[in-house]
Amino acid sequence: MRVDQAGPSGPPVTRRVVLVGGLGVVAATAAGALVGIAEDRATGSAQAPAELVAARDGERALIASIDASMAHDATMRTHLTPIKADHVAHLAALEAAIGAYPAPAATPAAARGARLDRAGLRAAERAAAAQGARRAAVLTGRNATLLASIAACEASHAELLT
Amino acid sequence: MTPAPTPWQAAWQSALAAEQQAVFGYALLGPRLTASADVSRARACQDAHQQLQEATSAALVRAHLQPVAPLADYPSLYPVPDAHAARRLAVRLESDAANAWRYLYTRAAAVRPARPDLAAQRAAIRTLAQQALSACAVRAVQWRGTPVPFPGI
Repeated sequence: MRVDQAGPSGPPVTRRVVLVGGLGVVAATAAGALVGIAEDRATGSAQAPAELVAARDGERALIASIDASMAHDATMRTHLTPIKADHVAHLAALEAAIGAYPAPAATPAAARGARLDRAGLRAAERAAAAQGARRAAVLTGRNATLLASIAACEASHAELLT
Repeated sequence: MTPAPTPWQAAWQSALAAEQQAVFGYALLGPRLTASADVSRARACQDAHQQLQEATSAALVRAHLQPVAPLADYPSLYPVPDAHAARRLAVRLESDAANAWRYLYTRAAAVRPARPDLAAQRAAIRTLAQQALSACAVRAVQWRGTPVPFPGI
């Protein structure tokens, strides 16, 4: 990631980012996480970006909806089990990304999901994919990539529910 | 002497190379498919990759970069003895392309350039990479039937 900045046409970077990035390379094991934070610290934040927190809250709400939709419906349960597993993995990855910031992010109250039919879930996945891509676009580094990949997964969920 | 490509420029070329491989790969696997639904799906996938390949080449040219040429052959894609192998290859082509677009996304998202023109270029590349990554994930799930949580990662 740092090499990019050193390129001939690379943009100017602040000394601080370079220093923190360099430290990340030294502490090779933690380099990835550290670089991700360094980019946001360059903008003066010790707190997880709002987009990341909003993405986590969105995942929670979607999981609650899936839970409500698969209860009492064996067919839906079959279709939704792999989809729910993906969302659980997304939530864990987002929690980990948020947890890498020093300042704790507020945890929302447990979401109560609305029961949706197949078309409703498809629309919810499609909306989540579009919103995730928009949120990813304003982030940098690993956070951006994480949200971009999750958005792609949600687009594939919408396809599965077609 | 032309300057060495920056990592994101190299990643852009890799995305083009993955699209070229996909176009070649679908042409290779298409004749092995037996179910008519699979045949038409393969054709639609090949068209989509062909369009993306052409659009990516054109975008590279507009950015004053020389697009990489497609390879004459892709030995790692062989053999494709039957329909089962053909469907598996389709999944692999989509997965390889997803990886390449995700990598380009990561490179373009590594920093926010201070120069407005560079920032706009990176933003445009990210939009394109996101669309391509999502499209690969959608096509992969059509072939595989099951999703993966983090396409391209």
